[in-house]
Parts: sequence; structure tokens; C-alpha cells
Amino acid sequence: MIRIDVSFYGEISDLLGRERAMVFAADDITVGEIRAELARQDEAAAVLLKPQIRVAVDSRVVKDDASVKAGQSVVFFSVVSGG
Amino acid sequence: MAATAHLELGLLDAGQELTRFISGRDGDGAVVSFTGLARANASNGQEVSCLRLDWHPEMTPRSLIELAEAAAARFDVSDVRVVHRAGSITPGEVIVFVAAASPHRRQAFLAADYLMDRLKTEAMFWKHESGPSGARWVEPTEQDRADRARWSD
Repeated sequence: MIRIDVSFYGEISDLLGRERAMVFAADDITVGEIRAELARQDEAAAVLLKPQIRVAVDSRVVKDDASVKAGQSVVFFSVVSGG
Repeated sequence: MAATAHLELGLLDAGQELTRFISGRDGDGAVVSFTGLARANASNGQEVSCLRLDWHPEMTPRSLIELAEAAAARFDVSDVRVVHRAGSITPGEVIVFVAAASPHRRQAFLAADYLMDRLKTEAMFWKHESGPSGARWVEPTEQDRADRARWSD
């Protein structure tokens, strides 16, 4: 069982808040599986299934097949605005 | 060649930044700087009373230094600096300061121009504007994207 801290930045934080902790039965999981699980748990999180919502693991931008292990942080974020 | 970046959560004093950046440059013949201010009107014309730049504690500072380093590597400059505000910003306040130093002015102008075009589209911020007509999240404008596209990478 692993615990993963997930956070949300940009417009999606209005819908999903800033952070939530998730627990999974597996030892590791992919980013895409976290997306799907969030969308299953919370109707508002269906927004995460949009392709423009990107994701980073331990602050590095990754694709959905990236693996996430216990203790790593996952950040979903809306389109960046620039400065 | 050097590049530095700073994420500022308080007020940004552009004059002080410029004075500090200019000092002790016997080898450079030019310093070009740009100061960006928060506007009271959004790109859609609506009045803005508060601008908030949401930021990530690791990814946002890293995006600033990576863009500054890209400008320093691309042009013949000796030093590049970017200071960017985050958090809540009131119209009229300084939001960004960029400076480039070079032995000759043309490369310093180019480096500052390039860095601003990239910051406007790629810096890892999430901009939220609020005012009398409501609140909205903002993405780069078509003009911002066209400005970025002027550069080949």
C-alpha cells in the first residue's frame, strides 16, 4: 500500500482544492491511473482527463505512463499563463 | 556568462534591482533592462483590481532560472537577471524585472527581448485576475504566443 500526495495548480485548483492524499493498494502506480482514480472518486476531477491538464512527478513534467512510487509528489496543473 | 533568477513574494523595487545590476561592470558597455507593471485593465478590456500569480515552490523558480540561462547562452551577454513577483499584485505594482549586460548594446537588447517573450508564455505561473465584473484565470494571449514564435526555440 502506498500513499501519494497530489496537488493541483491553476484553474483546476478552484474545483479540486490544493492538495489531497491518496492511498493505493499497489506498490507503484502510473500517473494515468492516478488521473483515472481521481476522476472515479470525484465528479469534479473529470477535468483532469482533459489533455491540456499536465502533470509532474517530484516537480518534473512527465507523461501518463510515468510510474509513481511511495513518497513522491504528483502535481496536476492547468495551462500555465506565463508571467 | 552568468544568469540569476529570483522569485519575489513581496514588493519589487526595480530601481534598486537596476542599480545593483549595473554596479561594478567595468567589462560591459551596455545594460538593458525591462520593468513590467501590473495593468488595471485585462487584455479583454475588463477592469482588474487584483492580480494573483499562483506558483509552485519548485517548478516556478526553476522555470525562471532555466529561461534566464537560455537567454544567457543564446546571446553574447555577460550577465542576465530576472526577478518575478508571485502572489497577490495590485495594478501599478512592478511584476517583473529583467536585465541583460553585454560588452555591446545589441546583444543586451536582444537577450532582454527574448527573455521577456519566453517569460510571458513559459514561466510557470497561473494568473488569476479579479475585478468588478468577476474573476477569471488567464492564459497567454495570441500576441504573447506570436511574440514567442519570433524566436526559433
